[in-house]
Amino acid sequence: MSLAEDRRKALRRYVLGTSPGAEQEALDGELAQDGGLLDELEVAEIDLLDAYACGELQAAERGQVEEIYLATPSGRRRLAFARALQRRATVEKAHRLAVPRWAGLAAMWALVAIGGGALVWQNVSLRGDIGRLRTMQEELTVRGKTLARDAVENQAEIAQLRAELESVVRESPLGALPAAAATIVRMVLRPGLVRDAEGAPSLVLTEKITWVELELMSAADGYQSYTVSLETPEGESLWRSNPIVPPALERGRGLVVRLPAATFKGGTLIAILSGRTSSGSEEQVADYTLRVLRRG
Amino acid sequence: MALRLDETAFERLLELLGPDRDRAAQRYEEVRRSLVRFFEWRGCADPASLADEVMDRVARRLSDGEAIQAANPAGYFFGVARNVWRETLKTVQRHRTASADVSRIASNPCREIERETEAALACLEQCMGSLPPETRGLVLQYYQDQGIRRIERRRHLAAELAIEPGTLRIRMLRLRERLEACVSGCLDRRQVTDDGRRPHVSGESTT
Repeated sequence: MSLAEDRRKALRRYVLGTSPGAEQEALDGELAQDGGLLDELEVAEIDLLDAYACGELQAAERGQVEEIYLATPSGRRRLAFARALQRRATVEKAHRLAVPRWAGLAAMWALVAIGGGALVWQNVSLRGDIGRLRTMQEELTVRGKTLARDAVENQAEIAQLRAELESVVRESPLGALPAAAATIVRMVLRPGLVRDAEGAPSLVLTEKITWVELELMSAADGYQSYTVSLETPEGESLWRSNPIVPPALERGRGLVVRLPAATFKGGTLIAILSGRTSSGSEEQVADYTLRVLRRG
Repeated sequence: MALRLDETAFERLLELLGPDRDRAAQRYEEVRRSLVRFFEWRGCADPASLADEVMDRVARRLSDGEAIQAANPAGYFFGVARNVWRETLKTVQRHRTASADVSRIASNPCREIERETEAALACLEQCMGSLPPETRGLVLQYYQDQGIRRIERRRHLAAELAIEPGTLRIRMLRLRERLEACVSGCLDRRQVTDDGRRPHVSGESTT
């Protein structure tokens, strides 16, 4: 047992009036000194009363406390005070421990409220989004219908334009537009008789050449329209253009016609330029001899 | 036993306790308080009266011209107190026996202490309200828990306040004394009020 524990027990015995004679006299002597024993004894007494109030005392000590303190009004009051203070402190502790639980519940409810609020807000927000999407959907439906109607109209217009284009192409002296992969060759022909076929300009055609442009040079002018035809020396007609109404022929530039390369037979061919007068009669303006050579 | 000290006798008592009158007056209060506790811890029925009896006897000896040559005058007071206590031992024994009889006779002493505790609790609440909040909190924390947990709590409190545990113990002792005095005064006032309301019963003890 430690000295402190010995001391504590001695002080408690003194307070209970159960100290052995020598021990009591020694403590009486200390109490008479201008020291701190009184405080020590009072603290020991309070500890004793608090232990009694808490029910911590063993039966013997409890009996001694009751014998002393229950015997007098002042003693009972001291015991009552110790019990009251103990109860008040216990209530305080219970309250302090309850606060976190309350705070926890409050926090939980706050979270639920916040979560619920968030869900409500989210719901409202989603409803707003749905409304906006419905409006957009209706707008898109209307717009789709408009676009479909426009598409139909455009297709009709495209078909009409295509028809017009084909018509124009058919009537064009240049003939049909070449395909993207087409290869076009141009040959400039000048009018005049040639001594023989060997002296005529040559047009070499390969399989890759799909279109041929003939630029017919001529000094003729004043006709309402022109027509170009391609013939063999024997008079067989291979191709004939629609009437061409060109602007005034520029000096140094000829009349250009485009015709499929397949039109050309190998050998000597003659291109004939005819003009329609204002009276409606047709006159041969010039002819052009060329020699066609096929390779590949 | 009523105090019979006149002004002259009281002045002589103070002279015994020290040359400085104020310090001597303070020491007088300390000695008297110690004497009251001395008799209380010996189970005397009326410790305050016995303490006054001690003071009265010492003053009388001084008035009779007795020279008290003690290094510690308070020791002289406690010597007289032991004599008084021995004289009253028979009375104390009788008191304790009578108390024990009263305890045995009383129909339910626990009920009485419980009633007093309830009254003290109401007064304590009132008295706590007069304390500063931090002091109130300190008191309530200091007296929480039991056993080793209480010891740990008090050590922790002392560390928080950056004071020695012994210093905290004395500080709390003073606070408790103030509270207990406040509660005691409150109970006295309540008792007076209750007595005023209660119809007088012939033969009822007034002690």
